[in-house]
Amino acid sequence: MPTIKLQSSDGEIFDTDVQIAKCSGTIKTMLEDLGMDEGDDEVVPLPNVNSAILRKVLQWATFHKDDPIPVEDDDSKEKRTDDISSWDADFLKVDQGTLFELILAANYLDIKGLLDVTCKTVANMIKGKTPEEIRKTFNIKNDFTPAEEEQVRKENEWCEEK
Amino acid sequence: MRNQGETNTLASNKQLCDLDEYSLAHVFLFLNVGDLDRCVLVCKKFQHIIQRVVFPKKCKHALVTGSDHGAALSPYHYTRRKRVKLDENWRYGRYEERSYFHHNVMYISQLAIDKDCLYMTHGGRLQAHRRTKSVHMIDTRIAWMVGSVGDSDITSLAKKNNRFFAGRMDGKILLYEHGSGQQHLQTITNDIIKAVDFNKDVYAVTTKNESTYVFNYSPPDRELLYDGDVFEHSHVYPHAYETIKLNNNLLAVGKFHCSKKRALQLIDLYSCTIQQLNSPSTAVYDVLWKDEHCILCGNFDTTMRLVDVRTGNDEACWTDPYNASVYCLSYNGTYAVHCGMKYHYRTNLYDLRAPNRCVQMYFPLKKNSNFSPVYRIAADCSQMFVVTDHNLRILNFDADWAATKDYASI
Repeated sequence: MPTIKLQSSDGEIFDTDVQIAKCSGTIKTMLEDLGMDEGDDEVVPLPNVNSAILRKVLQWATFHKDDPIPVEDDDSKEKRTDDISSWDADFLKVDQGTLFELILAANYLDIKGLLDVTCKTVANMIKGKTPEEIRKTFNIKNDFTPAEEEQVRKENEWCEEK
Repeated sequence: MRNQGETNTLASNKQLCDLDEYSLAHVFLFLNVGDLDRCVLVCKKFQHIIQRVVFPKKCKHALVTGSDHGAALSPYHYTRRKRVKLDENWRYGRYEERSYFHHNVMYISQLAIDKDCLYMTHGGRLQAHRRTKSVHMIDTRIAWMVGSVGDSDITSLAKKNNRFFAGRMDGKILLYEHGSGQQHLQTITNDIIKAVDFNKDVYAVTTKNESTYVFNYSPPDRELLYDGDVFEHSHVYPHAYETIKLNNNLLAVGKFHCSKKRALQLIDLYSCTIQQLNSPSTAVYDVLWKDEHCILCGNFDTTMRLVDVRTGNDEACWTDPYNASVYCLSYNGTYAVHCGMKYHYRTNLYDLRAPNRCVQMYFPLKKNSNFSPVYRIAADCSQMFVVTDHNLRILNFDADWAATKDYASI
């Protein structure tokens, strides 16, 4: 099976099956547009992804290599978050930092399936929580003044029975 | 070999707020309006992304409320957030229902709406009622009226801007221009008129049993009191249809019955030729133009179909899960089609992006009469108007307090 070499930001080289590497739109484009041929012993540098994250990404891509290619933004579909497979759910039992790194990597590498499932996981962590609970969960500082907060609340009032 | 622990610490310092706008927006797109309203209060970065990116994007792709056409028909100006919220109400069946104009004698009313008024026929009269921003939604007092009790029933109605074109049971057509008050009545046949439509200067009329007429319209000279016929025959086709709709020089036509399953046709008014469309149907009850190339049709065989006239083929099809014929259609200009069904005052909501899937069904309350069809339907981005045997139902989706009646998953 043809392989290519991917290099993480911290210099680690990953010998990767081309088919698996190509689930990344970014790598696929590089290979096709820049005329990098399989078999060339060239190294593809990925300066935005460190080795720990790249290892996780490749683990995900290997498991999902036979998935159908996701349709580019199928907007008619409801944005569901309760359809995460059990393998993905287990795979994403990681600390928040790793989860966010995976989102950034999926974004940079253009892997729609991974981006969706990681973002869904974060969305599920937000669902049903109060603003204060969300801040606590994600260690976010409230930068609204009380007056500004009141203003936002007002704008978003739900209508009562008239 | 690197130290595993070291790379892991390297990875785990990221916070949610460190994510770029695009990634955060991608997370927020999975949340509904209730959760987004809470997120907006978390911090300014969230507020900014949700208001500037997430709501506009959700709004653009919203099924019912994303359409400018639907918004233009509405008396309200909704914010993007509100439109996304309304779209959720359409999807989950959250609405409040009211019924108006109850009549014990069964008749079919014609219906049209615009931003200001609801237009509805009762027997031989065409009545306008102002739409209001109160909980009643319309003023039941008559704003203006054309025709009188004794007139023959209006069986079809087309409206463009201030101009109303109606066909009657007794074979007369009525043209009424609101504003100038100009009215013209002309007998064109002895047959019952079934359907009418018009555009800039072409007027089309079809009858129950005999023919389809195409007219040119010459407006009477304003100085003279002109009593003659203002409609001049340009062509008569010896076929009768249930429904007709104009699009420039093309007239989409559907037959009430065709045993050879060739009920959907296209008439080219320039060449005076009839083209058979390859959409096998024994009966078409309503047609409309989705755009200049595509027709939507509601069929006896319980389907709503999208037909491309360039290929003449069905491009997509939606079948009613409950096996009822489609009586009437309303299209919002982007993705949403509301179908009035044959039984139970039911209407279906279809998404043109998702063939053969019913997004939601609405079953208005069963009162006064049983199992009526929906004969005419109209909708803007927050209200749906439904004509039944004995009354008009208005479903108001701007009703956050209402219970959801979700039939999507059964």
